Amino acid sequence: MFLYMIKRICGAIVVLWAVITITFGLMHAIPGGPFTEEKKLPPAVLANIEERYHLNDPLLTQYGDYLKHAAVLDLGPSFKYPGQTVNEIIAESMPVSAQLGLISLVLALGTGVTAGLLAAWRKNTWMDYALMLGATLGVSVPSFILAAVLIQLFAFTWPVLPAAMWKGPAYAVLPALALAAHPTAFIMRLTRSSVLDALSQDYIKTARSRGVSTWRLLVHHALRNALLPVVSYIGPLAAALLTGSFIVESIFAIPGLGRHFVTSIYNRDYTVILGITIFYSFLIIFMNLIIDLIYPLLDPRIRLQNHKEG
Amino acid sequence: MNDHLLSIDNLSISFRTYRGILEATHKVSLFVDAGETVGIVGESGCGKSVTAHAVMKLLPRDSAIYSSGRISWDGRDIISLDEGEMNRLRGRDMAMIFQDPMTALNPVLTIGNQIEEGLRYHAMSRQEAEQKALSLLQEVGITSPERRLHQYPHELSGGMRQRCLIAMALSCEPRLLFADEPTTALDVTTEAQVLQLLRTLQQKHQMAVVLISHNLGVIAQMCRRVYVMYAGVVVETGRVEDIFDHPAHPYTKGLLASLPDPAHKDKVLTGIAGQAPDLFHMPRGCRFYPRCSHAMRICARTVPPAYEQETGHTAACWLLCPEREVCHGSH
Repeated sequence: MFLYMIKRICGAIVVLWAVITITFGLMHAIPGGPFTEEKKLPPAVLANIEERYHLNDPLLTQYGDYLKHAAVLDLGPSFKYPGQTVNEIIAESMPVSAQLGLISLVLALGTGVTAGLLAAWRKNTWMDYALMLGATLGVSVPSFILAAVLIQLFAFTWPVLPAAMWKGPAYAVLPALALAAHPTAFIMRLTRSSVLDALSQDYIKTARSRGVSTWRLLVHHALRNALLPVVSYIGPLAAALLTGSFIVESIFAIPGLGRHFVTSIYNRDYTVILGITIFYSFLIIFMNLIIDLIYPLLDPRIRLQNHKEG
Repeated sequence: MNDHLLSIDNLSISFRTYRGILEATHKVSLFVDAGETVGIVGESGCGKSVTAHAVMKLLPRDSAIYSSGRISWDGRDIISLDEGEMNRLRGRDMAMIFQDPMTALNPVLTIGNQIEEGLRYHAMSRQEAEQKALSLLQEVGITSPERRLHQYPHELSGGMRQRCLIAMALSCEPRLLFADEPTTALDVTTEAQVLQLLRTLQQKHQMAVVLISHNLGVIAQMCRRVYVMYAGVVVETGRVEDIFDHPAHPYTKGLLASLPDPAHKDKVLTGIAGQAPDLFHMPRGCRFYPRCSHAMRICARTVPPAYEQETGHTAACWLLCPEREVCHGSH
């Protein structure tokens, strides 16, 4: 187990290094820079600023400096928000996105797994068809349309919920719904097909022959076997939800991390682009590690082993 | 006639398939008395498992149709029972062990967990259930049962798993045990051990056993009476001695002739020519007629009735018709 963790951590460092390198290269490949404005700055001023942010150093030197700082978790100052470091930006906006993301994740998992299980249990009945129609809609309707519909319905037609901003629990309802719709639908379909697969297995018949009740059959025997694909999907999903969505946060004017993903690229805010990418990659790696640690709890046949042994 | 533990009258089971309705068994009648071991023998797809699964109502609910007949358990009609009532019957009154012990156990639950759940369902506390599970594992001859309770199926061998399945099936002391090809997936030495175990347990608990097999040797060793099935119908039935010593139906004769005989190694093995009919294109008369070397004109046209040979020994074949002129005239 200890050796396994060491291996995983070494792997993670290599992946993060690759992510930094690729992002660094791509970022500098796009034309323009953080201080390219429509109204050109006087060359002396520009040179001064570039000198200050070390932008006139050779790229390789900049890259080396960045790696050195990143190694001690210093993601550098933002070029567009003077006086703010990237660490501060993430620390400030991450909790908002994480709260919203966590609500959506719980919502998506709870609803998705339950509905998928119900659909599988009542396969080929009106309930199955209705749930699957909902799931197809959930997968295919883009979140910005759903968000607009939700705002129209619950903020204007029946003004029960706030349309935007982030000032309390009520403000989380609509964005969480908009954010959760797609993963809910996806999890529902995943759960349904994998529960159906489990229900067709021999051990279900054995359990039925022992007089095991339908409820226990579904939850204890089928769902437990069916959860693996769902759990694999949760890793990347959690990372994506917790770091916020550009679209949903823009529509609901939520001061989360999501908007930085896009605006930092417009702004050529090099350090923010890199910082957020690293943070997101780190979360994905971390979530996948957690998921891999959960697998053996669900399925005893899976062991965390080195390739040699297993 | 309802003093039998289980009696099946004219049971036909069909399945909805994408090619249309398929009849898997046709007017099968059989009975099992308390405490006796009955064999059902026949080749793959002849309907022997379907019949057993039909009794326990384990057939896929969305495609299986009970198209005719009655199943009565202790005088009670089973077909009309709903899932809840059936669940009270399963495990406690009748249980089943399956062909493939590799897939018949849930891989993510411990052996103990799977044995105990049947017990807990029939009102037993946790401690009681664990004690009972332990003694069951001992009874089926599993070494160090305390350890096995906490192990998962993949940690056990095939023979060991089949023993666990037997322990599970026996857990609520059923009055009837269906053994659906219980040794097909096991090697020969393990097979002998499992059969011996089944026989011991059957005698000890005085339960009825329905042994389903394509292996005539296994049937001969274990059973008192036997039903021979072919293409969804029972073609011959009787006491094991009757069937083995003087089989009446050409199919049964063919089956026996195709057994290897160690005493006469130079004898060429004879199989039954042809293949079992496609269930979608069943012959109109006798189902065995296309492969039968004694086929007569009447066989192609009319289904033969069951003719009694000795008490309890009947075979459905026109060759046995006592009014020779009627049946054999049109040779």
